[in-house]
Amino acid sequence: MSSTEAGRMDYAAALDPARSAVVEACAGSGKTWLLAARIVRLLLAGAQPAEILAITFTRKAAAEIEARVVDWLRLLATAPDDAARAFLAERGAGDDADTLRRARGLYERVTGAQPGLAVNTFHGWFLQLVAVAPLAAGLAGATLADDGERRFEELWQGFARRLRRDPESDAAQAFVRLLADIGLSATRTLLARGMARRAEWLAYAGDAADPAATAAGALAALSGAGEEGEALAAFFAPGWAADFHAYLGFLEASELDGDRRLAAPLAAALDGEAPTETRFAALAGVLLTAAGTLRARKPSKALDKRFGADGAARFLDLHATLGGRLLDCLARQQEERNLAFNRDALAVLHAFLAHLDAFKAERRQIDFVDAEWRVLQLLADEASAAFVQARLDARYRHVLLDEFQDTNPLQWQILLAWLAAYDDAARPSVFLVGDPKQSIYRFRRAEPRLFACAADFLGERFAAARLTQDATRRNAPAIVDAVNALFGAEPGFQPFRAQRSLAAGLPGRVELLPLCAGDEDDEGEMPAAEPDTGRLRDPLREPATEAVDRRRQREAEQLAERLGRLLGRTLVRDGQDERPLRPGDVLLLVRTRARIKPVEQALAAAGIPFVAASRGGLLGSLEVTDLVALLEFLVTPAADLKLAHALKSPLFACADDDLLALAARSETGWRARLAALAGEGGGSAALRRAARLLDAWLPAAARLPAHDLLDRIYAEGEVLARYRLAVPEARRGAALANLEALLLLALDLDGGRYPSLPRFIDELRALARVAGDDAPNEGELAADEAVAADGRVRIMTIHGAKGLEAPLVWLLDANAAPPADRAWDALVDWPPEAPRPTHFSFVGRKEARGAARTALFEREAAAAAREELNLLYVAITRARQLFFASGVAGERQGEATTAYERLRAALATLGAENAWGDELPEAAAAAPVPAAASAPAAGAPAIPAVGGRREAPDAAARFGILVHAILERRTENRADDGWWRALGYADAEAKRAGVVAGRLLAAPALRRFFDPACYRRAWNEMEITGADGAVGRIDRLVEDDEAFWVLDYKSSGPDTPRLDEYRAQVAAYCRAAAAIFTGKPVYGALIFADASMLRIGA
Amino acid sequence: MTRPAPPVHALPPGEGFLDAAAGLLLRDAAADLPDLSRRLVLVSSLPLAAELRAALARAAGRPLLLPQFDTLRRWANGAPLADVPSPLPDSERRVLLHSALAARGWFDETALWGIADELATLSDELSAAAVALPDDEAALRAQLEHAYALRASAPLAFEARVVHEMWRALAASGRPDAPSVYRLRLARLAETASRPLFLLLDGLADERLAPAELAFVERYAARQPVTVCAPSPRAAAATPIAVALAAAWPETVDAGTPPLLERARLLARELPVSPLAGRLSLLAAGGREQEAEAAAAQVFAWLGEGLRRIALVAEDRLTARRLRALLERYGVLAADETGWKLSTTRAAATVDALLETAASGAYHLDLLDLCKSPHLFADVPAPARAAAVLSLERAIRAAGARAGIAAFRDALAAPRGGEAQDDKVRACAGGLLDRLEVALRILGGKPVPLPRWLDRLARALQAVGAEDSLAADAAGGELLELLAQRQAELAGSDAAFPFSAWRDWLDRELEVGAFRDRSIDSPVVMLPRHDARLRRFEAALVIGADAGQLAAVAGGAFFNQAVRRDLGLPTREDAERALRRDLELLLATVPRVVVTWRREEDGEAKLLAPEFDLLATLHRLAWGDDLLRPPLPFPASPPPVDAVPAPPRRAAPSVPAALAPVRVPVSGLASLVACPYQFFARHVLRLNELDEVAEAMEKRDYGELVHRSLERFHAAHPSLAALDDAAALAALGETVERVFAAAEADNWLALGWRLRWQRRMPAYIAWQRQREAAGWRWQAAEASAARTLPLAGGATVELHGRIDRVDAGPDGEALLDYKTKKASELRKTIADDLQLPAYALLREGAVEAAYVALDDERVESVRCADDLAAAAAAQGARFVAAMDALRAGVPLPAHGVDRVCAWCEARGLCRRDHVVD
Ligand code: SF4
Repeated sequence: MSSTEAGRMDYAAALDPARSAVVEACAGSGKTWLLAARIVRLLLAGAQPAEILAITFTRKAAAEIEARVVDWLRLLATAPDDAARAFLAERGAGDDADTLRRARGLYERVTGAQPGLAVNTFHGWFLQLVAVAPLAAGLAGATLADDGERRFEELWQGFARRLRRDPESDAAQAFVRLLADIGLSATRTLLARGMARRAEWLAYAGDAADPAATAAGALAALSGAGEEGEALAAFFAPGWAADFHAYLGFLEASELDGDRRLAAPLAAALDGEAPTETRFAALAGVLLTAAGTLRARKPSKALDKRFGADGAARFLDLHATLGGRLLDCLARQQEERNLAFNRDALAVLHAFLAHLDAFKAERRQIDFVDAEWRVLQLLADEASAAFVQARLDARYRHVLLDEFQDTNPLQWQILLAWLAAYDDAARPSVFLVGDPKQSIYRFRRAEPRLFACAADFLGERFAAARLTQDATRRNAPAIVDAVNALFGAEPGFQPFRAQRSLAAGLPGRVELLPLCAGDEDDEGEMPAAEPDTGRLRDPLREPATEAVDRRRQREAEQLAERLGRLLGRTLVRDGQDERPLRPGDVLLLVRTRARIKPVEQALAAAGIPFVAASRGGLLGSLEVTDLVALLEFLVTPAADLKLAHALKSPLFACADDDLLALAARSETGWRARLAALAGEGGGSAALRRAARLLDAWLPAAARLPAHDLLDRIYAEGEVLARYRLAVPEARRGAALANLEALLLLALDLDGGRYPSLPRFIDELRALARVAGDDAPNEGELAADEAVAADGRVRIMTIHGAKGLEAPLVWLLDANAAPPADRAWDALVDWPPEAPRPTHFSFVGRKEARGAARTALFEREAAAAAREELNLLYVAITRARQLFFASGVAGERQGEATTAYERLRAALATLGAENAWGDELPEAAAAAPVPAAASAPAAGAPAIPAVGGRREAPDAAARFGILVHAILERRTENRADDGWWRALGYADAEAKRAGVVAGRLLAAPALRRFFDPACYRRAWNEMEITGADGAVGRIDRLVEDDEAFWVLDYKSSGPDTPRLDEYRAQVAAYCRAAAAIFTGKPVYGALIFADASMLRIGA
Repeated sequence: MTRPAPPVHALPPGEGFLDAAAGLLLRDAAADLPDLSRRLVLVSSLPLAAELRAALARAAGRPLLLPQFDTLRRWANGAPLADVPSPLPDSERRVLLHSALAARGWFDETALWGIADELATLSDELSAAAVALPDDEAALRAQLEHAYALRASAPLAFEARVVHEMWRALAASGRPDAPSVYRLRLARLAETASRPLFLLLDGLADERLAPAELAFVERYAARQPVTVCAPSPRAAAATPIAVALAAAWPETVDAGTPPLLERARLLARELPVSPLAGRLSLLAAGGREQEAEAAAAQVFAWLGEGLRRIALVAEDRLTARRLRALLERYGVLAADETGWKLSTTRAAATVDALLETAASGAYHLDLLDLCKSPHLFADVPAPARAAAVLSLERAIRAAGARAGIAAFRDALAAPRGGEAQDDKVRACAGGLLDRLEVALRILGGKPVPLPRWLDRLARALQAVGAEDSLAADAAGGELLELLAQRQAELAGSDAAFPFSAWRDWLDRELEVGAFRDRSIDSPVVMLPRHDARLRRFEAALVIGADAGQLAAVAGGAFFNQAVRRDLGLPTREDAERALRRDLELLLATVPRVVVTWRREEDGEAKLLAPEFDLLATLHRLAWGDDLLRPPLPFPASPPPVDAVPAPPRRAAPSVPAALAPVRVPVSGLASLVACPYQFFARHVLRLNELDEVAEAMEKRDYGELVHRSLERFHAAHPSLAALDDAAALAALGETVERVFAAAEADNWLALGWRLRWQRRMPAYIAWQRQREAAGWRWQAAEASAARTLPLAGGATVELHGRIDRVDAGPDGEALLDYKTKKASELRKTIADDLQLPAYALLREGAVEAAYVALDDERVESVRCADDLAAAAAAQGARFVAAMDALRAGVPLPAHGVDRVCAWCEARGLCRRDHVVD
């Protein structure tokens, strides 16, 4: 991109290293380019790499920015002068000789810098700050814990135990009240959600002594609610009845049956002795409908006739006032209940969080929320903030913030505190880039309004330039047309500036497929219940038809069919060229992963390779459960079902007949049956193979860590080769990748402490139980898969697709209603400019919300509605050339407009019905769809076996070594003690060996070798080389007056079968020694444990 | 820095380095030949010493009495010296620091071992660098203030205080630490030098030798001839490789350094042919497995060329482990010089399982994990042990016993689940439990000093028969050895620790303790980078060379780099320099080096380590080749020959008549109708999931307790006529409390379930009154019923079931089934329901069959078919027809619908997920 092309945006200002800047940049406008360019400019201007702190939203994005910078710097270092100059000019830097020279040096300066350039995520940065926190912060040695569902379950159970220990405590009482009031699962949900918003709760609570009471008090103040029963008491204040009596008079005077029927309960309520609740209910029944609204009573001729004109007016007036009083009381009762519920819920949350803190303290853990929160505390305190700044090895003078729309208020407070810690002279430059239109992380507490807030702040305090970039390089003009039509007039999306495409001439198309309807036949076809005809379905011959939604199936089939026509035929742009569309060019977007099943089925049936970016699916995939079943069997051999499962998997490829053969046997347990059958030589080849392999793996399972065991199973069980044959093509790649991922998961888990197979299985089970992000992801497809060149269709959520783009994007289920509000959640209000939340309460069922918090609910609803629009914006702007949307008809719909409807309206403004844009060109002849990856050619190469296992020394040899060592020490008069322990010997062993050594030393025949008076020189453990260069070690070499003696100690007796071998060895030493000591003869001798001696040679 | 007085023989690093060194050694010792036994040769590492020895033997070409070879540190620490104090063992020092910290109450108990470890490390670093902290705390604070450029900071003052006070506490112990003793020994040994010394360094003397070591060499040289031999610095080496590396990695980069591009041009002019082209290549892989495969393929290729001495430099331990496994598949074993943490061994896992079982109050998963360890109960014959553990597991699962030896004993005593248990096996299992109990009791004692804890551990291991088998295991032996050593060192220690602190201590010991598998003897060696220095491998692989992993580590939880520099401690820059030196030596010494790294991980780009990135860039600029090479293909596994699998088809087995079930429960009928294959798995093969021990009460358990409470309530009060509402409620409430009591005792959260049910009680009483008003009388609960149905050919099949409740009415019986669901839910599926008609089939004469929905504001019954008898007959006819068909060999297809498959345990058997229709 050149700056002239970029048009309106003032790149000079955005990239000027001396200035702070805020850039609002639309999708596809090249934010990574901008950030990387700014970093290069900063470096060119002399900034040290360690002075730059860039923060982005994901580690992936961080890695991408870093890689981009390094690539550019490498390019600058290596490109010919012209190219390097052009590169610099494009980024607004000078292209003079001096700049060029500096630019060429940057690559080395930056890659070698210590500390280096920091491109980080908020989390990563916070952890870095935590690591340099003052000692007094008590964070030393803390490890990072994940905040997952598994830990929550553990906490929840522990919390219950803790409460039970003190059932009279306020928290326990509140907990029991909650259980009775809203039930177990709602209570659990409340705590889980409350915990998820812990950071906000902590910020809200500040240093209040009893934050739960504070929050409840604030709620009481907001709603004006009092204790339960107050509203009712107020209603029945003295004199309350007068108007009701008057009203009763009218009813009794009425000739209408309906009125008369109401009179009786009213009369009863007025003079009854019943409790006030009952009487109130009766009154409400008279004036209000069952749904709790005022009964309709309107002025009418009939009414005038009935009561006279004045009477009628008086009656209607009474009806309205009394109804109003009742409704008011009902509303206040609701607020009272809400308050009571909140008191309990907040108190329990507070106790739960205390439990959480204790839990973590015991384990010395912190989690991400702690990191965030502790960092804010550190920075808020002047002394610790200064220390943290000093303690970091880096001194940031330039801060770059990417994807700022995803920042949350707490993070913003941290940034503010960080910036405040600089004195004015050292104030850093700040560069902030983001796009509030792409804010889709409300569920992670992202606050898009912060963008404007931060922009104002930076404008005021940092004189930041404020820039916008509304031109996209990514999307074809037709796509941009649709974007403008979609959002230009959308009141919820303002301010919106029309976007422009820089990809002029790139053909593009937006198409809306007809909604898939559920047709009448479906209902008629359901054969499951036919009691009328008396004939029931024959289950052996007719499958049941599920009352499934045929609509979704149709949508998926329509997708597969259309893709089938486009792939290999439609031409898309790739750089300057055009080429036929490949599966890897297609991105399918869904709202939630819950609905991708039919899509997968349809793609599989059509033979279109795909990969579902379903997180956490690894352990649920069949191929992985196959292997896990095998492991479970190996750990618990009584698990017959697991054995059968493994047998039927491709690993063993047994048939149902094989299982029947085992079922027919009488041994207890299938393992015994299999062993017996195979032992008799019976059963199929597959069964015999299975028996053989399992026999080998069972003992291995007790000893080997999971990874080593799995590796052995993969190798001996030919796992990958077998699955390659046994999995249908469309799923093959994913299956192989998953199998590989399991192996790597085992490697990862084994990398931790204390590996045992049962623990591994427990770990896997626990992982499989949890939903969502904790569970291991499915395997990434290997890059060298045969289809790699063409890639696979990707199925992703819109959230997951953020930051991605593709030539063809298809939004599925576009007619779905936006998700409804959740019951049992925390309601938090944190205005972006406020240092802490201004409201924190819990919300129960929708109908029990009460009116007091209406403004807050409306704000939430508005934010949710805006995020819906943002999701659509993100979805459509992923598309380079083609954007399709499909959906199903007849979804339950509230007032909310669906994405599909918006798209239709947008196309209508463009004057189109179902499609807008260009027909994409087609290849002359359809390129063949990629053929199946054939199994790689066979033939293991001839690889020589290398290395061998040493035999571990047996007990005798071990003992011999010890005797040796004692002899060595005693002859050298070394008096140290306990040294044998370092060699792995127990004291008792040392004692026994000492006896043997003593025997040798005392033996008269050997005295000549050990008594210094008898010899001239002696060496222990003397190394010697022969003429051939081979090195040997002589146990003891002694020189006396006549000769040299080569001594070899043997722990055996002279009757050892290896005597010849020993002799030969000593003889060889003697020969070598003889070559060295030419003056005297060299003799050899073997000395045995019984102190006998065998002379070798002369 | 002082230079050693003896001349340093700088030899160019390269393949001939050791031969040259050996030549030097021979020249030095010419007078002594062939008896060099008087001489001392000290080398940087033992493996290098072995190579030098071999080089010497080769160079001599005749028999020699070899000199003594050792490393400087080993030799100095091992030399017999009188009157040198033994150092304060590290273990004792840590206890000392821990106590000193605890006494001051600065930190959380749980943080103390960690901080003590950091302080010990810092103390060693200070000692080794011969840095003495200022005598008073204020001076240290001032020094830190200067280095941090920070004044009057409370956190800084505290850091200074902690370090200073602990440093003083150590000094006050009156015993020198290991570095000091080493220093002392060196000094003494230099004074008594009596043999000529040959010292081979693997780097520059002042980079490789600590100040004390330099001083030693100098003083030694005053008494005895000393030859120091080291690889020449790159600047002086002037080999083509050194020149190329100098161009790539200049010692300093500053304004005066010519840009890379220029250096590359100069280099190309000087060396028209790249000295690296054949020696170094860089391999990018897509993922961990691809990296391991590429590395393995490279090793195979080298072996194929006849190379044998191959170094595997493991920068990434996990990938290296994958590589080792892949190599082993092909019979290539690699000797391991790196070693593993003891904590990652199976033996340590056994010890930890024992401790975890003790800590968790014998939680069932921990206990079973422990029991399945190969080290446990080694004195019981393996088959008996396996059978006993299995029976214990069955009992625990069947009883749902979550934790506690007592609960497991009960579970064993009352076998459930039908299967007859062998008494002998059960007795054996009981015996194991007894022994476990003893072990847990031993570990359950009051706080005691560490040596007593170690003693307890030893006795506990003995109790569970693990001691000998651990000792016999290579890693286990080292582990026990380590513990014994600690026990001896700490014999005098008397600070008492509770279980958790002791366990934390032990964890750290096992984390630091290393285990080296010495059982493999191979020329292919896996080793850490610095151990490859100067060794003459024929080829080397560097695995995991991305910027994150192939990086200098700078240690220390205390101080930042500026302070460390100021104090004279090694900094990251030093580590960085050492890293480059290692790579230089490797490239100079080993003629074939292949570097692998992963291009991305979890979708994140990973950069190649800057050293290699620079080298590649320079190389491309100079010679037009960036050294990047595509990975060699890993040998594809041969296609299976035996029992070759085929793509799965929809399963549809036929059942031999002999295996056709003769008794089928009503749930079996449901299964048959939902999916015949599921029926096949459950009722023909009779395969079911083993019971699982539930952590907490689940909906299913809740239903069961609701059933039980109603059964008991009605047994006591078949009619409510005699009770008013309050009394009925009270009676039911009391029954409910009694029924739930055990569950609540087990897990308090069951209270939530009880409250849920108790909320429904008034509605239930009201419903029951309605029923009674309509003329129904409670008659029986949990009524078993069965009916034998005739099949073709004279065979029969029995259908059986258990009915929750039977009421008697004026016209006949009503069959009721309680459901803890909402009526609306039940109504949705009632049309397809077959359970109620099947009950009616079993209990002829029933006039009504209904579900009772117990989870609404109101309790309601949901009735099935108007014509109950006809519906029952139809179900019967269908069942008979299906069973006849089954016996006639009609296959049982796997055609469940999603809803059924989602919870089907036979999913792995029918292979549905892999079947494409
Ligand atoms: S998974 Fe589905 S198809 Fe397979 S056996 Fe179970 S119910 Fe039948």
